[in-house]
Amino acid sequence: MRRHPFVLHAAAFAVAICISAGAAPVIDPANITERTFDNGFRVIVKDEDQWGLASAGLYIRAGSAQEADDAVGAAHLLEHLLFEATDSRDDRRVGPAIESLGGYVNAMTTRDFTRIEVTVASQYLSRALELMAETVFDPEISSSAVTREREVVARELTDRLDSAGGTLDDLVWTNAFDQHPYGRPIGGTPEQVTTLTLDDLMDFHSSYYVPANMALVVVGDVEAEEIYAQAESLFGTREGPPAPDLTIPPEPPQTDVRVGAENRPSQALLLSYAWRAPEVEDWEDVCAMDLLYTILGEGQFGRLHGALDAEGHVLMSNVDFLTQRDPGLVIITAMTVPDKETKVRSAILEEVARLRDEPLTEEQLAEAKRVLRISYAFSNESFSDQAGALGFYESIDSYERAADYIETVEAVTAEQLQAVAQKYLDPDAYTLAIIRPEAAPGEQEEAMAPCDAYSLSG
Amino acid sequence: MRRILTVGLIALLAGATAQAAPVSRTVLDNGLTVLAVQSDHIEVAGIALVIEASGTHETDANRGSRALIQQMISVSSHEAVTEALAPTSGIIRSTSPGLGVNTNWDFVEATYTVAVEELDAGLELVSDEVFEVELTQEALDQARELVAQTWDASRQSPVQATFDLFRDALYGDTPMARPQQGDPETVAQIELGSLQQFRDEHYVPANAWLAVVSPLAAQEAVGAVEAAFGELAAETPPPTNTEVDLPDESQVEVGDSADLAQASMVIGVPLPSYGDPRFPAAEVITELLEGPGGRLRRDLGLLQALGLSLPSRLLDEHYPVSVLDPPPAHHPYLAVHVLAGPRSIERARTGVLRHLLALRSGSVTESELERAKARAINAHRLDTQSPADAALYLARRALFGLGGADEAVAAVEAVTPEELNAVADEYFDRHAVGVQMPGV
Repeated sequence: MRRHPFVLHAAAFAVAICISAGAAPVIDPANITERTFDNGFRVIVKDEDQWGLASAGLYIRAGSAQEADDAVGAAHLLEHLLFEATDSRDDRRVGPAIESLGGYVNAMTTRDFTRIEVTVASQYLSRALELMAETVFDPEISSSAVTREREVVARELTDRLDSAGGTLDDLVWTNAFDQHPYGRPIGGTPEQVTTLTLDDLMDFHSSYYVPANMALVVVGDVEAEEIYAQAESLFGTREGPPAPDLTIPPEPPQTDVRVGAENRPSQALLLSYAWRAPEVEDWEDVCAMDLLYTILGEGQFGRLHGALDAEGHVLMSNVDFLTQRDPGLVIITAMTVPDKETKVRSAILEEVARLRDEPLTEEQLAEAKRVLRISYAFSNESFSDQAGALGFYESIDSYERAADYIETVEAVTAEQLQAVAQKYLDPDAYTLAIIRPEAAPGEQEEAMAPCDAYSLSG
Repeated sequence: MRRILTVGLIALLAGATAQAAPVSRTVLDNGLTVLAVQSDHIEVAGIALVIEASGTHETDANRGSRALIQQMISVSSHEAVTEALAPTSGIIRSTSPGLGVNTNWDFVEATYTVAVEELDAGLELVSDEVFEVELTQEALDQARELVAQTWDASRQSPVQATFDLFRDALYGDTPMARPQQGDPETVAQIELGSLQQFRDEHYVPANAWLAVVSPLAAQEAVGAVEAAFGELAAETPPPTNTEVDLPDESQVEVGDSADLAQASMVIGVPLPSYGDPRFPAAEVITELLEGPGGRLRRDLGLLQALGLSLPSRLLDEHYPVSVLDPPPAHHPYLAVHVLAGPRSIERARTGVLRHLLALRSGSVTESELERAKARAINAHRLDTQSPADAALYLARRALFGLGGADEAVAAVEAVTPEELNAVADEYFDRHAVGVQMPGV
């Protein structure tokens, strides 16, 4: 998994691969403990002894992928309401209350989970956990609050669609998936959100905001036993049904090249190539894909930088791969000028073909692993980052993935890497999305015409 | 080789669960003060260098030198990392591979983060770029251009323009009234020789504090610092100069801007020095006023007096009254930024001023004090989130003779209501106002 919005990975077995003698692993498994209460609520604590600071993330294993077809946008709207728009007084609403204390607080919805995170001085963590528990278990939400907040969210979604990046993102995901809800925009569309009712939100809440479907991750200057005691009192004694079934019927394999294109008023052209990517269960493939990502797109080290950025063909290029519960996408994005579209598209496809066709030398592989390890160390430089890494994996599988990540990466061979490239980066099965600068009205077909010409299958 | 004046483990406990972060303090032969903290939970190293090159050291002939040197270090270190493709840490952070450099009233600072395996290379980069980079005419010309661009960008911001007016009103004809990022007119006058002389005089190890936060044992980190900085010549820096002639009376500076739909005002008062034992009380005063639940937010009369009509949700996200963070400086301020209707600006001024003056003798409830202290304590702790943040925090505080966050938190916790009154009584006898009115 790479480049999810907030963290990279953790490594438990980094001692084995640590290149600097005496250096500690990024996420030391020796400091991590876990507990599952009778109601199924899980707590993971990484106990440190410094800085008087602590980060806590409360994870609900439900995101936009769990929404019913007639309640698209419910996960995100509910998160908004819980965070700061309930009818409780300011000092009982987690967002304003933590802000009032000067702590950091945020909430986010993804396809697979919803998260509320807080970073505060350790001495205020207890208060933060109380607020988090009240927020998720005892929300006071009225119909009028829903009406008010859905207008706010609809405006946000409209603003997002007004940006070329937001539109491109939607073009990629909606074209890449026919059936799986990963194809829906997180948050839904403005039109969908404005139809949501209080009942829709409460249905989602009662199905997924249950103790057996939640986990609390705490990293920082804390005493683990104190956290467990408080968590049991706040979360462990709540009654609730068994964990909901999160299984979603799989998307049929993609066997074709799909193209989505739009024209917008802009000077630049944006395009993305997307291939189906491994799900978290295919863990070795995930780690190999992260290495492919690194070889292709990790800053100046990445081959795309040499082929595109350094040659002056693009204003920017970028590779994304977010590990998810179900198979997601690995996406290559570039911003260029219309004159260079052909060159950029050819260069991208050539670099992807190189991954399939040319095995890496041992030196190249070792360097890629080194860059990935350093990148991962940067992404876990704070308690907040590490809580995010543990919580991320706990939400889609198990926090232990964060612990064995580097060991698995280190074990990848050049042959495996090539095999993964050949398995996923199919020249005949990918999605291409393009936002071109505004053309004359009715030019959609013309705008899409060159796409076929550069299909690798062609 | 190094002369260890002090190798102390400063360990002050604060709060129920907070543990001390041991800070090792060493002074090298050339006078560089090195602070090192071992932090086991990371595999990166945060490096921060703070140099006591102050605005008070700049004369009329070389005003803006620090801003020019900042730009030159920034460009040169960016090129060094980009061209060499090393250290790898710079490649990964490709959006900003060079040093983070900043100029403050009383000091300049540079930060860098590297993977721990690249600490030696990272320290070499900081040492080379800050102390030894060659100042050429070509680099100077480029730096002048960058100063001009920064200046132009800041002119686009009505809020920055309002703050500049406030700064003029509060600091009169002192270095604090000058733009720290330089202005095109003054930097155009600086010759290369003069700039080199300023750098040679002030950018010396004995005038600097270097902090490293990494997973390495403190002495190992100090050894790495010594390898990178130990050969720099020992030079005696000019004496610290904090004495300035501040105005005695309250001042108002007024301007206008065609970009503004509402009036923009910054109103504020002086505070004790960041290194003064009374500064923690000043921090608590600031937080008493700021944020959701703060006095300025709870004053609905003040909100009405602003003459604005804003939806409640917008108020949550963009409240028209906000307190600016007091800077770490010898002569900091407490300042409040206010947006108001053009005809309501005087009512807004008196409304904010009433809150400031009330602190001179008014009472503070226990819950107010608790909340304000929580905000101040959280601010200190959050300043240490990343290794580079933590290193910068330690180096800045060391420059003012202060210890780490545990010491800061203990000081905040010890503040009494009487100390709040005492600070307000001593410092709030004059105020300054900068106002930008909507222009035509």
